Amino acid sequence: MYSLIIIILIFTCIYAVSSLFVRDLISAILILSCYSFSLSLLWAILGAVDVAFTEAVAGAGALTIFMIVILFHTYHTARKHSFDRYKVFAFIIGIPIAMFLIWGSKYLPSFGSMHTPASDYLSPYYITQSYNDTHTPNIVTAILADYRSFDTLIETVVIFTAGIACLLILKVTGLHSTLITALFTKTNKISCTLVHPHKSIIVNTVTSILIPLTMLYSLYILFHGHYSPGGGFQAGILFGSSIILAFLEGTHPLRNKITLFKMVVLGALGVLLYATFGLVSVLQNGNFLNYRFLLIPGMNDAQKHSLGILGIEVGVFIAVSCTLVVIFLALIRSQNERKPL
Amino acid sequence: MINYLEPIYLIYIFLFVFGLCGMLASRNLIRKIFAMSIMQTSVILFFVSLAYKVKATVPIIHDHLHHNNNSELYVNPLPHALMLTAIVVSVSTIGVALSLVFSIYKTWDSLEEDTVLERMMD
Repeated sequence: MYSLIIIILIFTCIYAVSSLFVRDLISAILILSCYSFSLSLLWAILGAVDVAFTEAVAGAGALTIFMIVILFHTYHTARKHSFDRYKVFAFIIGIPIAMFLIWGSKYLPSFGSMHTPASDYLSPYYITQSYNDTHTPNIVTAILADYRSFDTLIETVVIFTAGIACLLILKVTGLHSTLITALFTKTNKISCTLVHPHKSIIVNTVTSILIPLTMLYSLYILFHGHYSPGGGFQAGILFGSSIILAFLEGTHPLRNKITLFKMVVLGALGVLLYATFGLVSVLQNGNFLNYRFLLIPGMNDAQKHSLGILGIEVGVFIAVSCTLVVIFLALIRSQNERKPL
Repeated sequence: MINYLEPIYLIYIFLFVFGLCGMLASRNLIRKIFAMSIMQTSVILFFVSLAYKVKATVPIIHDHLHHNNNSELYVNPLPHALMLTAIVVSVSTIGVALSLVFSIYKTWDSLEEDTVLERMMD
């Protein structure tokens, strides 16, 4: 097992080094997605199946799409530079930090030991008690959505804010005026159009088969997150990428249904759904996000916790998938209205 | 505590410092974002490998009726929960970084750092 980990790590290092030295940036992106994939293999070996799933979906999937969208309208050959003061500066900074980290790693627990400070105090409680508390076999989901649900709430807010920040930075026009008019009229002005819709029959056939399957699979991951690796974050990214796939095809009917405005409002509603589950328990004189105070007759405490976890996972799912589509649409739309200097 | 250098930690340190040096040394703004993501994943790797236990399995309880109170059967789930959200947040923050880079490109028509600086001086 140890030698397998070392072999995959060496491959990871090769991918990392070559992605920064390749001159063509599109090949660098593809190498980076190989890097993410080998990382997710490594995490599956290390027992972190949820993290591996997230990395495979987010790092190798969504991130690659964003980078390629950016390079689609800029150029993709980096200029060659000789050895210069920037690199000297980087070495002067880098070598002392490396020495410092090596000195510090002497005091770390040895790899894979059963008793480390990180796993001796809090995590035995999670491992032994989480099923009794929350009726959820997947301990990571229980921690993420129940024990540390404040943390996850704020992180969902961060993701939504990042989507809004993309819109504001790129100054996507049409949103400002239509934001008000779209409430009253049913115009579809802000529907996105990709520059040149594909007429390729291969792309159209493959995407029309893939989109419903991906959506179905993401819903399965969402509702099966209690029992298997998965949950709101992974399902949200998958669902968002299936919608992005619809924009890559020229004639998909989903293209006219999805607008930027709808996505922003839905993302906000997802965050709101999360916070509502917290507020319901406050109204019953409980603590914020304590699902024990949800008013459902005929359920014991653990089952209420399980239901509460499902509820906030749905909120996370909606927020994450809409934010992904918002970032994608912002990047695409701003490229359509590019004016060179 | 160990008195020898664990090779796995050495590789993590290499990835971290390589990402940092890549951010400082490369002039292309997109390549700087690549280096940033490499640096991020090295930290995530470190956290996940702290959670690893030999002879332990994935943190999903598979037989809850006979679930004895032995916490050594499962790897530590807490770093997994922390790192899972970190990955998703990093995707959306890299989206913000890419949009910043693109608005720089729209204004100055270049992705190279020194060309942008030259055009700003003019």
